[in-house]
Amino acid sequence: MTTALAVETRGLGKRFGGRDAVHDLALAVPAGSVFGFLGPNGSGKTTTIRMLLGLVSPTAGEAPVLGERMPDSGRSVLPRVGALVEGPGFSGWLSGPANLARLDTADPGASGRTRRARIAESLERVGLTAAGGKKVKAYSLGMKQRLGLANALLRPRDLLVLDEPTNGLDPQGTREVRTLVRELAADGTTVFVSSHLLAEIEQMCTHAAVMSAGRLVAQGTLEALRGHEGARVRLRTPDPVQAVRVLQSAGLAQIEQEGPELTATLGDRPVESLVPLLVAARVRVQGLRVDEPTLEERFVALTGEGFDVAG
Amino acid sequence: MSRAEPARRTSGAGLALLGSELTGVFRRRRTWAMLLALAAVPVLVAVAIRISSGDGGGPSRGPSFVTGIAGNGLFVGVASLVLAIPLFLPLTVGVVAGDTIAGEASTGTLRYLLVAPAGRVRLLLVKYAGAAVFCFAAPLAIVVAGTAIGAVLFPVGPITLLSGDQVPIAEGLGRLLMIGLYTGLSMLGLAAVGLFISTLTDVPVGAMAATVVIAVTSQVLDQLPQLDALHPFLLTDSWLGLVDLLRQPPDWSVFDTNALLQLGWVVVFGALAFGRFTTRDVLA
Amino acid sequence: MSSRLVRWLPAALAPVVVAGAVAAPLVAAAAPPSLPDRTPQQVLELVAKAKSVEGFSGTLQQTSDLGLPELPTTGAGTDTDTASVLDLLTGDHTARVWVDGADRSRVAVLDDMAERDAVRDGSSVWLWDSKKNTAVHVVASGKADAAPRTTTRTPAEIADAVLSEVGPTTATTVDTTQRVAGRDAYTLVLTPRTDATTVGSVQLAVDAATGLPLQVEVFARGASSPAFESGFTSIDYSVPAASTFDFTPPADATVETKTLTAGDHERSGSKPSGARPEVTGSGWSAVVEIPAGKVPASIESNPTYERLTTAVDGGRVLSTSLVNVLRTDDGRVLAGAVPVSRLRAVAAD
Repeated sequence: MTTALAVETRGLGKRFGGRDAVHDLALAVPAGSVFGFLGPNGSGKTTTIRMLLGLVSPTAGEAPVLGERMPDSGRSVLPRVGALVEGPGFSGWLSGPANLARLDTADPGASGRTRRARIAESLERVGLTAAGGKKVKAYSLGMKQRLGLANALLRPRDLLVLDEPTNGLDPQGTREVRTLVRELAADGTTVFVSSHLLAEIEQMCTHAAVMSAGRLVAQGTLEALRGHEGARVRLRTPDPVQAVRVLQSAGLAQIEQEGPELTATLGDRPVESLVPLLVAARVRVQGLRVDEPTLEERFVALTGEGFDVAG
Repeated sequence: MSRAEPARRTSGAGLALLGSELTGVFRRRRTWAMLLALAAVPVLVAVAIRISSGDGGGPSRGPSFVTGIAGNGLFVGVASLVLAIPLFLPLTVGVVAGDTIAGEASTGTLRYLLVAPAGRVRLLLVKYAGAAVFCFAAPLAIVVAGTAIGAVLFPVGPITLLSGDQVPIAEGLGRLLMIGLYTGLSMLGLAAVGLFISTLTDVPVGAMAATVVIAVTSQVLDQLPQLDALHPFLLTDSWLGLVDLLRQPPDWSVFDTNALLQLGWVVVFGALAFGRFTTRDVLA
Repeated sequence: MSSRLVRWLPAALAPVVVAGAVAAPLVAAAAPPSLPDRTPQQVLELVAKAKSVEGFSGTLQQTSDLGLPELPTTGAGTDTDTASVLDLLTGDHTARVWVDGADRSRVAVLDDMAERDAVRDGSSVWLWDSKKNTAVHVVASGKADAAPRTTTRTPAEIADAVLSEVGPTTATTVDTTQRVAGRDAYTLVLTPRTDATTVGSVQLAVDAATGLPLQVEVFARGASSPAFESGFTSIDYSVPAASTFDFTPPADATVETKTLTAGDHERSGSKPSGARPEVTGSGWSAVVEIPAGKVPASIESNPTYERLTTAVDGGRVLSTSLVNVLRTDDGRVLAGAVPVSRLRAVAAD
């Protein structure tokens, strides 16, 4: 059965030769969410994913996945998990379907009878049916990426771990992956996506976590992450002096005036409550808008690093 | 509610994985290239002897196997095997055994097999079994190709054994088969060494080279009289014991000796491979 | 972390298990088996009784450590005849032996990629050399029967005879029992009563059940490991198949036939030589002298001669831990299991 949290790590840590790759990580991935896993290169994302999949054993803490502890419960957990880790990996001398068959055979619980049908279905889902019998070494990077996704979808899964799923895909492919993820999420599958493409996370995810230098710096719903406390109200008026007084009495902080432009931090006050106050004080309002911080600004603020924004 | 099928163990899942592993090994062009190269050894030997046998080369040149070929084509397989045992054969076994884990790591398939989940012990066993099958396929390729080309180029008759006795063709072919199997058995220890080395690295070429170096080193040590006491325990010590199957009556005890020796190496290096592979962090 | 250590446990245990499996039989073999005490007389009776063994087959291992320099036994430039004779005496060899009764036997010396066989079936003996692809058929004609005279004496009588014969020169004792070729054996030790020999002792392992001597070790004086050792590593007392003694040379082999008549079969192996060698002294310290001219002079031109021998006053000496050979400047050859000084003394007489 699926617990409320599909992944819940506690104090998870990994040291490589005296250096903390991941430190005291407490991830909480709600079941049914599309969870974005963000962080600059080297922040410990991949190490975390490898620990969740039992490829790397943690040096501290534990990593329950689908309610069972990894890596000890790999046998029962992993068949329910589809994964794409650090790019696709296939034997170049075998065809796509042969590669999928090989990986499916490696799963002791996968039925040999339905294998052929499941492979065909999975290939169709990622749009690879046409490539059929070609050897994988003749595949383009994008085709390999699709084949990697097909592998993750060979069986119905409770959790999909997708590391940079749109890597190497053209815009069309990227859109298809996004649609695929939404479909899977609609079916109830929890999707754990790591990406360096912030825009992608913003478009796909319901939740996200941000890693920096091996530590978790923030996690939660996308809304919560953007953070409303940071929103600023921007007011244009020919009566700035009265307006400042009104905003002050309304409890807004950090009020700045530059000619007819006023800006102030909104705090938890709803913006619609400001307008009647201004009107009552006979402040003529030429324009009013709220600037919400983008996830990118939030990210830079959290990690102190720039980000490779989608191009 | 879980949407995934319950992870029930289908019986024979290990066999299915082994079948898939063998398909993987034997669908590779590289495997066939190596088997063909091995099969080319007897062809070269036979053709060279066929061409030069007109010169009336004296009977005392070279080991009696080689001189026996002109008289009896059935010797080509054994003579070629003896030629291939010091280097060619361990080379191909080293390539296959060194590739077992490191090769999967380098193509990135290792992480997907483990996530599938193949299970580390199960994967290790299947990988070794695949290499072991190659250990037998390689010498048999030489013996079969040698016997075939020998039958084409030279007269075929009852086989003269080292003891001077002659056995009928059918029994002789049986001996050849046993010699092929004996040599396959001889390679099992080396395959285990290769498997272990393969778990140490993500670079298959390194693992292959190290495995071959060990085979060669072992043979060099086997030649040093100062290390007499060590010789019976060397990986390669029983490799040429196949000649005892060409005596009359055949000395079957070499099979037991060889099997015990190889078993010892397989146990030690299998355990090392197990220790390494089940505790290692898979970063490739 | 501890579960990781557990996974390395097999790797730590495997060498121990393998070493144990290797050592266990060695340790078991090292422990002397408990057998009823026997006097030398009784052990010799046992040996005499061994004639009743109908047949057996086994593997024989011969090793010698005579203190000779390492000789190239193969490769270009070696005189193959000399080398192979020298090699048979001094090298390490494995042979397989089959015996059926008194007159059928086969000895196969196992060489690398080759084999030398001696197959005897009654009065017919085949000598086969696979490397040379030659077969020599020796046929004894008339009375010349290769079989030793069958005696009607009882084992006890034979033992008596042997003891009284060796008694004056040799002390015979029974040492701790041992295991040879997986069989319990008595150890019969023959110790020369004289100091004038290089031989310290000869130890014979005698199968406690069948009386067959399973191993001979010759110790040089003061040495703790044998200079020469020949013994079975495995033995099977079932009568070998008759086909074992049935030898037909291959069609393409060079076959030579020799017929022996009554007088000369005993010397069939050696080159014909007219004058008998002269023996000085008796027992352990006997010295054999071959007169000048009977030894081919060509031996001096053999490259191995220079390497094997050292110059002494009056000749050159081939010195081993057991046997010394002196070739005097006037061409005589003296040999014996005695110190070089004794050889020179005899030569000077």
